Amino acid sequence: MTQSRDIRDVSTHIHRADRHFKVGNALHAAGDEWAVVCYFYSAYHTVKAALLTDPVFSDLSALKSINANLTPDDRLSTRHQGIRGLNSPVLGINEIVALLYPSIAAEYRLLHTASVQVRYKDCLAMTLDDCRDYALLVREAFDTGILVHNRKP
Amino acid sequence: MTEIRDQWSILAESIGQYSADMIGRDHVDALSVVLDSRTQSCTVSVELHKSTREEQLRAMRILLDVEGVFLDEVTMSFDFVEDINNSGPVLESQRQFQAV
Repeated sequence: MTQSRDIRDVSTHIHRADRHFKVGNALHAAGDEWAVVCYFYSAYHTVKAALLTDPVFSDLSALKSINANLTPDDRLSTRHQGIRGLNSPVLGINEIVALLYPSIAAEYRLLHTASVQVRYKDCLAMTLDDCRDYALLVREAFDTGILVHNRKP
Repeated sequence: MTEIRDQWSILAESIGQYSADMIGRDHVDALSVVLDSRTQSCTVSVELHKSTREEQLRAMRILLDVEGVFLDEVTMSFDFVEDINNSGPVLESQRQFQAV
């Protein structure tokens, strides 16, 4: 039996992002709201690839100037939401994206919100087209090299 | 009788008032904050006056700014709802703010 493992390389994250986007498109074509979940996880893996390649994580003083709780290990974070109430708060991917990549942060968070709505709520407050466009925006930002902290679109 | 409020209910109200002010009261039909003191997490639910893509993006950009202000105190998640009165769980450990 094949065993799952954490992804620690860019190409695998991008492969997973492509896979989720493709399945999202198939579900979208069928009018199934679960397309949104696939679109969100496509964006999630794209952002994870960006975190692995962003040189800011090799510069501790730069990280601390962005937020005192950011650490080099945060590039490997797998939690969406952060944790508070600890001596040192732990940031989640949602918060890290907002801190490092403001040009895509609203679209990324809307995708997360839509994914939660589909899985836990009784309706989706966005269109499937919007969610596809948000996932595409995140991917285009990665492909064009914008997902590097402080790099302007 | 004086109402005794703890830090969490004050924080929930601060987040709610600030969010509503920043988005703009004329853009918001209702807004609520549900704060779980055990996990120091909260959900801000927004019933927008116009629930369009442009308005959702605009509101989310503002809410991310609000998140930055309270980043050290709580984790925040957001939701856009059609009817604020039919959204959000209420547990004893949670603190509520609602503005309509």
